Amino acid sequence: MNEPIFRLSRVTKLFDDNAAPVLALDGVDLDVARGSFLGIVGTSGAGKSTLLRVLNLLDTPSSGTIEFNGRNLAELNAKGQREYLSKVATIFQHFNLFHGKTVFDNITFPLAIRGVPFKERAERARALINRVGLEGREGHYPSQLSGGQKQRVGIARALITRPEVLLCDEATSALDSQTTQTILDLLAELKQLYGFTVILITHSWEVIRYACDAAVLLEHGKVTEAGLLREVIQRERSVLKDHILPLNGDAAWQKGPDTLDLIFENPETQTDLLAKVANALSMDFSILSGRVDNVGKRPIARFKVRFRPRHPPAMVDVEQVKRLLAEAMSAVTL
Amino acid sequence: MNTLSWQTYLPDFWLALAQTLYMVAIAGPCIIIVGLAVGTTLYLTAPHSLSPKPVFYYLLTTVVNMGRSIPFLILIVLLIPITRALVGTTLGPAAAIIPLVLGFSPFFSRLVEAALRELDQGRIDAARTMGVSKTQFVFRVLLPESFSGLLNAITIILVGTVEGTAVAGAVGAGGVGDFAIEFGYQRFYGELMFISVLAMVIIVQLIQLTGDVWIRARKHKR
Repeated sequence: MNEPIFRLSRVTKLFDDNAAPVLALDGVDLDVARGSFLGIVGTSGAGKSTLLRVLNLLDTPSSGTIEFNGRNLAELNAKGQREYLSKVATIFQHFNLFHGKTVFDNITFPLAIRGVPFKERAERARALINRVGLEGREGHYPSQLSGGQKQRVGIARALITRPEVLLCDEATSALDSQTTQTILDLLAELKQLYGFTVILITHSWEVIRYACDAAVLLEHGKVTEAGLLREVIQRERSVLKDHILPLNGDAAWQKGPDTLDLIFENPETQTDLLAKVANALSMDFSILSGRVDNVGKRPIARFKVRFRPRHPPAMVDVEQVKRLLAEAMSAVTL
Repeated sequence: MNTLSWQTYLPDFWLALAQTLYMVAIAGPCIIIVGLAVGTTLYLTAPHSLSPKPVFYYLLTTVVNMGRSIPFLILIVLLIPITRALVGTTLGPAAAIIPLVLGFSPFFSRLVEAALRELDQGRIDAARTMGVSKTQFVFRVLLPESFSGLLNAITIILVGTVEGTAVAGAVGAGGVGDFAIEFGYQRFYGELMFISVLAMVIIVQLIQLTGDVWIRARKHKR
């Protein structure tokens, strides 16, 4: 039942057609859970785009296998590929709409090339056009639309074949931050409605924090960290966590036996526990750094806290503090 | 001095004009069809394109380059046997159509290839991720998306063809160019030279204006 929608095993991609060969993907192992909103993040050149391009068949892996619903992509014939591409659709950073076609013709193009009759195309398009908020724009050409509207057309065009997976190739990177939010909200709403899986590649931690429920960190063509965000932020040491909930300035580097790095999932009710626990152990504490971020629209607080014994000969036992805090927090959460 | 008024030869001018229009009307569409086919083939078979066939591409490129490197006047002479075999004569407007088509198609093919290359990789990727077949890509994406560029290329080649008819006229094809030489130059009728040039200018202007207006009307579709 809980079989992953995508399973990548030791996928490599070597570009060796010029003087300096590039190993864009270096043995990627990755399971994508059905229904997730997965963000693949990394610096430019980390292999994100290549990873997406092997998923939408624009490139073929040099080695390794990609399975979609248990089916090896390498075994698909032309007909199978076309069917696959109706289940796995892509939206792009620069939208890539057809300039010579109207909004309506752009959106229905994937159906037109599959021979779907005009009447059915029009019906399916009408529902989607309303969903993405493009009413009255059907007859316009892409050059008459704003960036956000163009991406709405891109989304409708991708969803017209009712795909199981929507691949987003830096889909909001060309948009301002407000439009980015409305597009991400729209994706979340449509995902809720149609139940597809989203795989989004981005270099923006903002996007990961705002929209995703799982993240994959790609570095030099390798997956260096992956997980659900709510698990990632509980990890002791994690590059993903440090980017999703960054600590500012010097505090990030402060370490010591008396210093604790704390995550509060319900900051409103949990933060006052710090004082209670410190009191119980007769300690004082100072907050070196702290912030609250919305992760997937839920506020999460991260604090760097230093404890000091009220009666100097006594020592700070961070393990004891952690244990007491954990007990207190779980009591509150329950 | 001329003893007859220049107006005496006006009927000959109208005939010449009709011959020029006839040559452009027949040769033009033939050049467009041949050039679109060859240009699209060049585009698709080029290295790193959709159906790369390097050897075939190289051969076709060589043929196209050869066609472009032969001066038109010499090409007409070279083609005399072929023209005679196909049309039965080497004189007159119908005979000029063979060299016109073979002379101008290679250049137009290059213009088509260049216009098609204007299609950015993004739109090509988008079409591929939707699962288009190669035929669908050519007829439903590549050619329609490049239409403005193709219109521009067609305008250029039709103007070129008009000039070509004048050159062909010099070796017996008839038409306004031939008329200008025979009556305007050799018989010293300045007035006839003037109306011949005027006619050519008007034809070229009409073609260019039509092209420009059409392209401008498509400004949203680019």
